[in-house]
Amino acid sequence: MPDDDERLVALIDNELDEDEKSALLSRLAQDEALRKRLAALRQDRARLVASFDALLEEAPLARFRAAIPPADLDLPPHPKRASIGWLELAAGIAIGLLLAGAASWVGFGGVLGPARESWRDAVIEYMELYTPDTFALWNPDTAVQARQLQAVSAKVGVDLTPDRVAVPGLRYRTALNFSYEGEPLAEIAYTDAGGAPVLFCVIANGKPTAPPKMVAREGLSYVTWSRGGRSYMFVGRMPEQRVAELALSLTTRF
Amino acid sequence: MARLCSNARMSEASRREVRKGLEQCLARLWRYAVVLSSSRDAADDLVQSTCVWAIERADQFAPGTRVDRWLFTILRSIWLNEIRARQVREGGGFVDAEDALTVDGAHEMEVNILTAEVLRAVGRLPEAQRETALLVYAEGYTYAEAATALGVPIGTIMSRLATMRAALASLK
Repeated sequence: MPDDDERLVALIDNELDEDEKSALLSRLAQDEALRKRLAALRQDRARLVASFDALLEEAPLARFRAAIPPADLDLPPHPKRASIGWLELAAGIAIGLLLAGAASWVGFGGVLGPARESWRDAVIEYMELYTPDTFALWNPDTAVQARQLQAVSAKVGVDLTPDRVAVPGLRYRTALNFSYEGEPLAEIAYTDAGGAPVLFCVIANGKPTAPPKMVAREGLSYVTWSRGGRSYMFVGRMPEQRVAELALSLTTRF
Repeated sequence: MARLCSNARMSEASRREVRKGLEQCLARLWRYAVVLSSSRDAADDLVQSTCVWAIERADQFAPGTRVDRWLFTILRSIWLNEIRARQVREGGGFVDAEDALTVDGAHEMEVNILTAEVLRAVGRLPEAQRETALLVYAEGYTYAEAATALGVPIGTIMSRLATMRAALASLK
């Protein structure tokens, strides 16, 4: 009897109301066949749960965690969202959040998008190739750091020394000379505690002074500013608040 | 202005809860996905799509309500509207139901053979029964909650569970 099966299973699952339960228990007391059916259906609920729970162990959690977009990509419900605490954090530094100005990046289409709009885009595009392994074997001592920085300093015309470019929480890895449309471009690479690359870039492009500005897009966060005919960028694939904290030591020196 | 601030705070709370919920529910979401789709590949797609959808629409989540149920609803909706339809178009995905609901050998030794047998038997059930069984017996939905979640009468839930339990009873 299918209807009886449903009631028996509901009884086992404790889903019958009191009247239904009483009626069924009365029938069970008088009906041996029904009792046998109840026994057959009394599939151990705990075993079912254990079977489903066994599946949990199979879930590829690491893959899914990697698929969750970082917090800094959350779309703001309002243009001024989250800017207050941020500005307090960066007290004394005029960092303007560009979250509300996301429309200006629409044409960017991601870091590998169609249009490279500036030296910053070129750096970011190149940075896409970096992994935690990229700088893993680069561990220059202070003397080597000084020589590397001296070489890039000479190109971009900014005094770069191990002390001046040191960022608490980051490990210096190397300093490289590049050129963007004929303008000298220095890239100083660091890694954070997890091995994630972080870059501090300087380009001698003659741009007018501009205060530090925070930008977050495509999982990257960066601070840009210009001073003394040089433009600077500090960029990492990490939440904007973390990048802002790390950048403070550089924006106050350069 | 006060309303704007209040809305902003609620949105922040929504986002926090959704992120936390996602991190805590990933394994359960995957289990639901693999039970629904009977395909581990489809389950992976389903969970990843659910993550993206939930993050993008976190503002739609009401803070203080059950985020796991909200995520399950999203996952089921994506399954019904996108991934199952794709499987049907591509003519695959329904043949490996029994295979998808298995545990690996080493783990199977630990969880005991009968448990693995139950899982394989569940894998042989129709999708509607598998899903109902998962929600009620693994996720703790009441019959009424399962009926609401699946959009069917309680009688249908009772019928599915009775059929499923009868099938599993033969394992004893």
